[in-house]
Amino acid sequence: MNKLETMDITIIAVLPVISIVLWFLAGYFEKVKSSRWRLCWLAPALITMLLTYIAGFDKLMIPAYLSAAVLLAGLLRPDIKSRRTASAAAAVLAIAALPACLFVKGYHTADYVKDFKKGFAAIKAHYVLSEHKQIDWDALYDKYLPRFEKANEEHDKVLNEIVWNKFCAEFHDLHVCYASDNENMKAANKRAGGNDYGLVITKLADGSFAAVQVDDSLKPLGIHNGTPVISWNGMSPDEADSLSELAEMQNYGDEDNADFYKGFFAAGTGGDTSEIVYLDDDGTEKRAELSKLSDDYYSRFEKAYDTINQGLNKGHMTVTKLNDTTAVLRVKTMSFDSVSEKDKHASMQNELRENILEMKSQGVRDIVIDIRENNGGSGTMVKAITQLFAPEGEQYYVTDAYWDSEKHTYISEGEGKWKTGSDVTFEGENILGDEGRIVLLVTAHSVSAADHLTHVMSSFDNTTVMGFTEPSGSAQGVTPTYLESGVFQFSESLMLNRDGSIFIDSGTDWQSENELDIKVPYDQKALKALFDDGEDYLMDQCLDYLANLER
Amino acid sequence: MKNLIKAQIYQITHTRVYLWVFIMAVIIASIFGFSEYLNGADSLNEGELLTASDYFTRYDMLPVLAMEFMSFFSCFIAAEDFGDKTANYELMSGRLRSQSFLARVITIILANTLLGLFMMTLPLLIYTAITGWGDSVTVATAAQRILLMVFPFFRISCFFTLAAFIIRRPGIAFIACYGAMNLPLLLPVNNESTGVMLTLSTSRKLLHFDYWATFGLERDAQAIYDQGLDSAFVIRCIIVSLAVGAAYIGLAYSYFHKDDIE
Repeated sequence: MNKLETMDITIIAVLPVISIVLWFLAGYFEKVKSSRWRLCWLAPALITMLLTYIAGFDKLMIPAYLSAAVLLAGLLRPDIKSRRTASAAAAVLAIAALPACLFVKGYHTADYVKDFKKGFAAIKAHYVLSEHKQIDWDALYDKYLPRFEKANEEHDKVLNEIVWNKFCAEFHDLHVCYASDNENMKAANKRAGGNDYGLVITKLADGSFAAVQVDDSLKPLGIHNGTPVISWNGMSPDEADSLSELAEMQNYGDEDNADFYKGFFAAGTGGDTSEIVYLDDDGTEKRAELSKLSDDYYSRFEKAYDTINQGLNKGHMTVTKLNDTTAVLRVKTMSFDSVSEKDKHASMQNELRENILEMKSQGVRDIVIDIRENNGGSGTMVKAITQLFAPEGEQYYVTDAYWDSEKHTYISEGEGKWKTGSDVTFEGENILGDEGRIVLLVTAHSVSAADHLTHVMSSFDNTTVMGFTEPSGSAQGVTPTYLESGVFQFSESLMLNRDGSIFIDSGTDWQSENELDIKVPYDQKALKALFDDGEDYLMDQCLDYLANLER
Repeated sequence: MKNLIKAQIYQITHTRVYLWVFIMAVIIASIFGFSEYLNGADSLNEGELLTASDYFTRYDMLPVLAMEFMSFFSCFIAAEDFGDKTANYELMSGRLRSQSFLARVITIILANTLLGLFMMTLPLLIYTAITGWGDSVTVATAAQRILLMVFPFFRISCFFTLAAFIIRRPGIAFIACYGAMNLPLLLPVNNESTGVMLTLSTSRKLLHFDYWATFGLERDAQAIYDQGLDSAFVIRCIIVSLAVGAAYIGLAYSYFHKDDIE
């Protein structure tokens, strides 16, 4: 059953009431002859028009709109018979709109095919990585149009969200994304995630698979966090992933990140039961049939995902002392406040400089910059932060591509190179001095401006990039395209390296320019620390690294 | 009826209040033309100034302003003659009600359309004189959109006419029309995708430009506007504006036809 919009309920409720009132007034006005009273038959049309303007037009409400129009007959033909006939017809029409809206699919739904065509035309025309990634536009269109047509036929908002996410994932660029509203996104993830059987399977650094986020109900079977998983429904977990719609919806800018999450989606696939083959604590291979606990695998998946990826739970742009010689700067997102964008983050930089110097006065030597979960933002903020920590002298950030403002296009010079505009550089301050080291903590969800920060700082001698996985590898400028059902955004502004090659983003090789200096192994030790002991394993590894560093 | 229309035009051109209100409309439209400078643009560099074509891409306030002035002229042209018995004398001298009615409706629609087009064009001319036309949209695109505004102007003029013939007191009719015009501006709108529910939604959609933008870290963002108009919307705009306008006139005549004239 559809959920009725408040304004439509008002229209459907008010019109029959007005019709009844006008029925009685028709008799009264036969005795009181005044043309002013005829206006009563105009009012329903004006009220309906205004309420429809607020609620939005819907074809299933047409009986109600007709109801208001029919009442106008009372103004045009002011005799009792016409007026009462109009009132009766109007009441019936208004009430007829109620079951139409409640039970016919398509009430207040957007045209998903039209939306797809609009979004597709926009990305095909303006996506700056089209050549770099060798996008086959015709194949994509042919593949996805029938899927959107299906969502449209079924008036299925959730399916529309799922199909958009799958479409976006084809680009291997986290800047290509679609969003409607939070509720629908959750519903899409839940539907695509599949059933919950009480565990999530993750791939360890040695290529084996292990259970995490295990439900207490599986303990009698000997399955707990870290239990090695051999197969799921007769397939290896990474093969079972191919049956998961949620896996198809994941967008990875770099193949290494896709590899890290292999098997993560398997434990949502299956029917009322699923078969798992695992090793018990004695190393004996066992087989068990797990019953479906619920149809919401995504909630369990999300908890496991957050456990692996979440950063230090401190505020944004705060500098916190971790031990006598190390402090952490957590940058949760690359935006600070509305004033900072206008002054190119100068005051934010001053505040950060004071905080770092204060820490230095307390004996802090090294800084961990935690950009796990950093979803990107402003390039000027990246510049302001890196300027403080960079070695002294001129440092290079990025090159803006040359924009031909008459032809409205960037200029390709062939062989993956583009005509360059101006270089973006800055003067480093080396605020930590020659003894200080910086560790940048990243995950696959360090996106966009966080990718920029990683790229720029990884070129400094004093910086080490650490994580289980690389940052996302998505670095071009983004602009939204507004559709009726949601917002579709993709890379429309080109960022280059000095030689005119694409800055950071992966091409057909699916390998971005951002790499880790130290890849922390995601192994049984890490799994236990994260899922059993609730530790911030990456941060601990980071402190160990700094403590043991030869200087 | 030709003479009745001539009489209406004579009355408009020789009534001092109308002249003052028209001058006020010209002044306000001119202020919009100078708005960039009134907002402190004289301190900006040449490349940072908005051109007339930039200004046209954010032009949705101008039609509202024009329609507010239209409500004044509609109400006074249609309803003032009820107060001084002119309408009554017209009928007593052998004119048909339909002639008396249509003469006013035609005059209102013509006057309002010309006023609307004038108020839409004047600020652009001033802007062009100061900062040049620019290249955000072409002159032809702007001309096309402004000319299509004739249809929502027709529709709203008919609505004002209906209100004026019902209320028959020009001052009260003007306040009512002004309120009805501005009420939708205060309401939250839930995705009015048809663009024809109200005159306001039509004018907004006619003057709306989809755009995409590029930027660099040290290069200002540049918006590139899609200058095409959805042909289905244009057809919808024309048909609905004409049909709803005709319905308003029909209702107004139906009311006027059977109404007592003092």
